[in-house]
Amino acid sequence: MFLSSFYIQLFQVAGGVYIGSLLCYLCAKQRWAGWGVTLGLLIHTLSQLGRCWRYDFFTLEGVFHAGHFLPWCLAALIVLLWHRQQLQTHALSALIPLVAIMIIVLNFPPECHLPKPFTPTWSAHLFFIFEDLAHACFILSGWLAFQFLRGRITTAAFNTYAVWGFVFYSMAQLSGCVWTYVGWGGLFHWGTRHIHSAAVWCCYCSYLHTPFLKGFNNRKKGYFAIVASTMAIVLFYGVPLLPKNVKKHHPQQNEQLQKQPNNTTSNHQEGK
Amino acid sequence: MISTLWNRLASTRLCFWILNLLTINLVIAGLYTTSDKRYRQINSQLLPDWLQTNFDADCWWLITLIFLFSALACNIIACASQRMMQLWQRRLHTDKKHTLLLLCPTLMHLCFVFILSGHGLSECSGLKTKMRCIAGQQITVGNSNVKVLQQHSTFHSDGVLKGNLQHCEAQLQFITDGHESIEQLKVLKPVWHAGTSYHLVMSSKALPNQPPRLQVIIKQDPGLMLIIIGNALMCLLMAGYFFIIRKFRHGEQI
Repeated sequence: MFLSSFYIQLFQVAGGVYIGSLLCYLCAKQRWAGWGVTLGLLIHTLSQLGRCWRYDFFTLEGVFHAGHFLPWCLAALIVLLWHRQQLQTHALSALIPLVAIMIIVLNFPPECHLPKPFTPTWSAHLFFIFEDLAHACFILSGWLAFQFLRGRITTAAFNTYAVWGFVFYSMAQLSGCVWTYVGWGGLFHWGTRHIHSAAVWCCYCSYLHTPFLKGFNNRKKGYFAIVASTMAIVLFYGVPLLPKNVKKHHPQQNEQLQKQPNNTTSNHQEGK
Repeated sequence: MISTLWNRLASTRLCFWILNLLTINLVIAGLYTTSDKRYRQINSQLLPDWLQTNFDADCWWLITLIFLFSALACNIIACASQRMMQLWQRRLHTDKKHTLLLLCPTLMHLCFVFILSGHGLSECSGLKTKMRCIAGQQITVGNSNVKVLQQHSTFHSDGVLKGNLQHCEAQLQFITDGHESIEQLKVLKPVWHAGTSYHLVMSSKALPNQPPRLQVIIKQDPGLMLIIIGNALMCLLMAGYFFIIRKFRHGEQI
């Protein structure tokens, strides 16, 4: 029970450190900002580890929830980029989307569902890990593209993140496929989440083909990367918030639905 | 004339536009499935059967989706065959490692065609059915008679999660040509019997200390291997290709 509150406090501290790092970055204290986000990532990692024992026994359930793991992935990418660029500073501008996400998560803490029979499987955990990694890459790609179009960055660094985001996303599709098959017997679920996943995959697949098109220069690719990452964010985090107006069927169709002995209009993929 | 048409069909520009149209189509499709519950029935019915009873003007996105995916498959096959012919002609002038690297994207595309055809097979053929998981319930699948002998759910008995659902399982009896066998079916642990898979799922939400309603999903999935193997190979090829290309761009020898 001690850990159950401790990991939340650590998460809040990590959020505070990220905000502090952003302030350092805005005050042109780049090295402070870089080491600050590294410290924040360390605290965030401890919080994630504590989350594994929040029910007084070890479980990965909810550890890779996008609300907590997506900012971790984004912070890890920023730290990686900052250290790989010999402490050059343009990677640190990505602290702005990171802090924006942290503020949303801290103000509206996501409700992680309790452990259910459908989630304790490696394919489910891999699915969430790869999906969050891909989303972090997409966000970073969109942000770097925005910086590129503003003239703050001279190289098209956003391209690398779009490509690796696509690779992680494809891996998420594979592990998701295994999970869906083992859990529900289907390889594709005709539901909003799966269909929108396919939409994002097609969009980035289209992006990967742009180097082979005549006249599709880096600026156009930059615009494409921004549109693609905005689309991914809206479809995954915006659309589920929309109120659901479920269409009523024609009375005859309703009767037909009720007559079917075992219709599964209930939420099949409840565990997801 | 034929050559021009073939080049158009195999062009990257066509692929780019088909993918963009697919993206738009899928975004709209996702919104349709949010607002209309009947599309969820496709998960438990074969697509042709579902279309027979549910087809109306609202299903336009499904038809355009099938058309666009078919067009994409044709484009990929044309493009991949053209590329392979080019590589075959160049094989004597390039070393093996380089040829293999250049072949990687073509192989990825072919894997994607496998995945698409796997999904096509799974949606249009095989078997999709279900039965309630209540003791005594039975169904005939092929030449097997399947009967639910018993089912039960266990709940966490102590700690923070006390009263919450921990696990569900059921006992199935298979009688095939007079031969009887009993199998234990659990959530996330499907049973395979005579080419058919049986999956235990919940059909109602799990409430504390209340056993959920259970169902057995019965599937014959002819596209399963195409999808899983195709997807795994595509991911491996992609990760390897982009990793080597990255090294190559940084000036390292491959």
